[in-house]
Amino acid sequence: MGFYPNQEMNMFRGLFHYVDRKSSLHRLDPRVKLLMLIPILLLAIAANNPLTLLVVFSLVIIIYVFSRIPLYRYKAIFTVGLLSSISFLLFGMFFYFGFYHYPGTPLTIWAWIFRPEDAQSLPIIGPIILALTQGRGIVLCYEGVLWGTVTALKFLIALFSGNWVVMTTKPKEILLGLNKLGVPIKLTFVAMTALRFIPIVMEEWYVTLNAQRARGMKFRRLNIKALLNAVIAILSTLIANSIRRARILALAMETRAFGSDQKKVSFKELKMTRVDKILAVTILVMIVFTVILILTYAYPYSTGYTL
Amino acid sequence: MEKALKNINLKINEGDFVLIAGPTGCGKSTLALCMTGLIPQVLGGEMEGTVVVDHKDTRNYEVFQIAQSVGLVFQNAENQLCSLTVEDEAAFGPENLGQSRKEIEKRVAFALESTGMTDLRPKYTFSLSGGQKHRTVIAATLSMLPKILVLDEPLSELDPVGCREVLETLRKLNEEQGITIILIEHKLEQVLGFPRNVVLLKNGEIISNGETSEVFRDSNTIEKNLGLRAPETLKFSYELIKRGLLSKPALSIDALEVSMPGVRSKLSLPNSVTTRCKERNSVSRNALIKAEELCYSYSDGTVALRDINLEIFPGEFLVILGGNGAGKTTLASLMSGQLKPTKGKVCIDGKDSAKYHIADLARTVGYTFQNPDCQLFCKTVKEELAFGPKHLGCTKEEVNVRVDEMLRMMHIEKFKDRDPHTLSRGQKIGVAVASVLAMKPKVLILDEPTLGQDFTRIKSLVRMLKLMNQRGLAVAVITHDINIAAEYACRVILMNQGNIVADGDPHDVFSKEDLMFSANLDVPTALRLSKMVGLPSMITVGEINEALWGSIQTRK
Repeated sequence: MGFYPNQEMNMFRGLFHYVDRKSSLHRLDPRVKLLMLIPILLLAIAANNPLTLLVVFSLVIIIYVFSRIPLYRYKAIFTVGLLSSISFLLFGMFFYFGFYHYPGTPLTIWAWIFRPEDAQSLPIIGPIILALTQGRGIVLCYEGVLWGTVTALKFLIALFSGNWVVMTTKPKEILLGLNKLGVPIKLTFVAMTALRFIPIVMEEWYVTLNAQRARGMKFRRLNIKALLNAVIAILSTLIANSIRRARILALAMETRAFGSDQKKVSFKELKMTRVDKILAVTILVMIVFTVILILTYAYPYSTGYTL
Repeated sequence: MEKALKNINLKINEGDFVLIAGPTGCGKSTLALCMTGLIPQVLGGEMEGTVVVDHKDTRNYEVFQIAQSVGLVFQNAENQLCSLTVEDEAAFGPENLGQSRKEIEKRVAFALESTGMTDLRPKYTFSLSGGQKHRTVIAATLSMLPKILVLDEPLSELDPVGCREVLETLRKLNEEQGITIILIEHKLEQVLGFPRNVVLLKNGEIISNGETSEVFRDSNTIEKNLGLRAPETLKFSYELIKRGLLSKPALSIDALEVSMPGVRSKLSLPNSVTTRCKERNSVSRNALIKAEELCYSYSDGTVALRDINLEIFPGEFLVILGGNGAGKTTLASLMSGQLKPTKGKVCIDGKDSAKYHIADLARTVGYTFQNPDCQLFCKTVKEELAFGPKHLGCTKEEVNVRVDEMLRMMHIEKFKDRDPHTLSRGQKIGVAVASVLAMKPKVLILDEPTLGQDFTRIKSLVRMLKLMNQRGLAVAVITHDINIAAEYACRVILMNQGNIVADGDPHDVFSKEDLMFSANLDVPTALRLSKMVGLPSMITVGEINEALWGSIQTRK
């Protein structure tokens, strides 16, 4: 449960996204999970063929299914995923030509939306668009749609795979895993403290917003300047409160020997089971395989959709 | 430069349970910081003389070494927790000391066992109640295995249940483990039964030091000299001593019980008793805020409020009481339009709250939040007070008129150009209340305005509210401070688990002891005292005195 008896405001439950299930995937060592990200992300970055990317994405979804994540948990990530995919697609459709097209590579134009010559007829916007698109204009083309799809897929793979690690691993375990993989303790400690205070700060944000509303502030009626001022006011309140907190926290930590010269030991231990070890080796092999794949099919062809 | 502490000579022995009390700014917290070596090592400043803790001079040892002898728990538990779970928090200290895993496990188990937190071991720290959070901090300090535990105002933001939990834990630690407890508090009502010795501080100097009943023998000490709130039992004891009916002040009801038979025989009980009449300013019977079959559930389905039917009339002064989680803040949020009902209706001055924006309803309902830090967002106090009227559409002249009026009324003229964040907590609450009153609402709802403040501040705040009430403002105070409610409320609403279980005159409501206990609240001490004496239910010592001796008690 994550409710605040003191504040009686049940708004930030499950903030850590961690879904407690007993799947075998949940029980994997966090280092193995983080390791799993490597080949997935490598392929996502290097591959440009929509088919390859679709295969990788399906693999990620299969991992989700095996983790028995309940359907209602997908809502947030589906929304983000859908919105960003549509954005990438639209952007690619119209602006690929202006931003990314490399002269000499194939270009199948379906329709001209904004020719460079039209720039003069459109008062202010015209020259701006021209400048942004490197003087080429806006064009609806096949390669643009392809680029949009490919980029959307890459983003989705990164989003879903990263989100899976967070959904199936307790925050402390992720940090421990990172520690063992070489991230310095002070850094992970900072991350853990930040995580711990996120619900508090979010709640403060909500309360401060409401406090402003309760004093007559209507955010929708504001012009940009006033809105900016209001947001800055809220932010400065949050920052002031956070600084105040940090002072007390620092003192409290001193009284618990933080920063003493002794070597800091971790209470919880990460132990790799046999399954973990086998998986780790498999993944390492997969990484090598992926690198070879990339070097053979993608690297020599800087553009194109060979992988 | 004014010295924070002057010429302190203090000796505390092993196994003592000492209370350090004094008005705000007397130097209690500074003393606590000196005891742990944080002053002078971490916080700097000039320190003369020596502080020796467990044979260690705080100047010659590292803070982490002193930390293994003395632990310090600060006021706000939330800001001392840096880990995600209770278990991790308890392990934090030993981890830092580089202990072996076996040793860490032993210490964590010991610390959680001593504070009764073993069952809550895997819980996330942000999901705990106030009392549980404080016990987690205590556990985290205990795992360092200190011989001394210093706690700086741990009860200030806790409700009665939380206070009891923490104090019982401290008693156990002192009696069973032999840990020396140094408790800095001004909530004397809850605390007085526990410590054996008291040190009184004022203006940085020790004005008294000794056994509890000796230090509090003089009736003037607590309220007149220190400005703290005297516990009801003590107040009554003083009255009895004054009339020669008692020889030594009683620190707890049980202690008074012992001498009661002798006292009772010498008292002349009145034949009839009139409880003070309530001034019910019902200017009109049209409700300002009306809740009809109001229900509220959170988005995940938990029910917060069930079938609430409530009317608040103009000119009332009412107190909403309840333990943590009873639904008080939720109800208040619904009554001011911040939350919209999931079922039922809330009418604010005739308007359905679901159909209006919070800002429109702000003309009728003013609301101050529990945390003053979240309500102050302008650069100066003057701007802060002007914020409300400006957004309500007042002309510039009108805004200035209102701002000046509020500055005068709350006695904060000298702060008008200061940044609100630089003020003390009590001053911030004053500014927050003023900025809401500047909008001239018809009803003011205050969420726990007395938390974390000393008695003088609370008195002046309530006095100001009473003044505004007499001028026509309806006031609803949410609190779990029973004695404030007993002293000032004309109407009390008792909540428990999302229901209103009682609504009416405080004498009637407070006499229903079973109801009060099931709502996690304590009955006013005066109620028990009046029973002991043989009077019908009186809820303040003032009433008891008035009934017995007809002394004129000015109703504050």
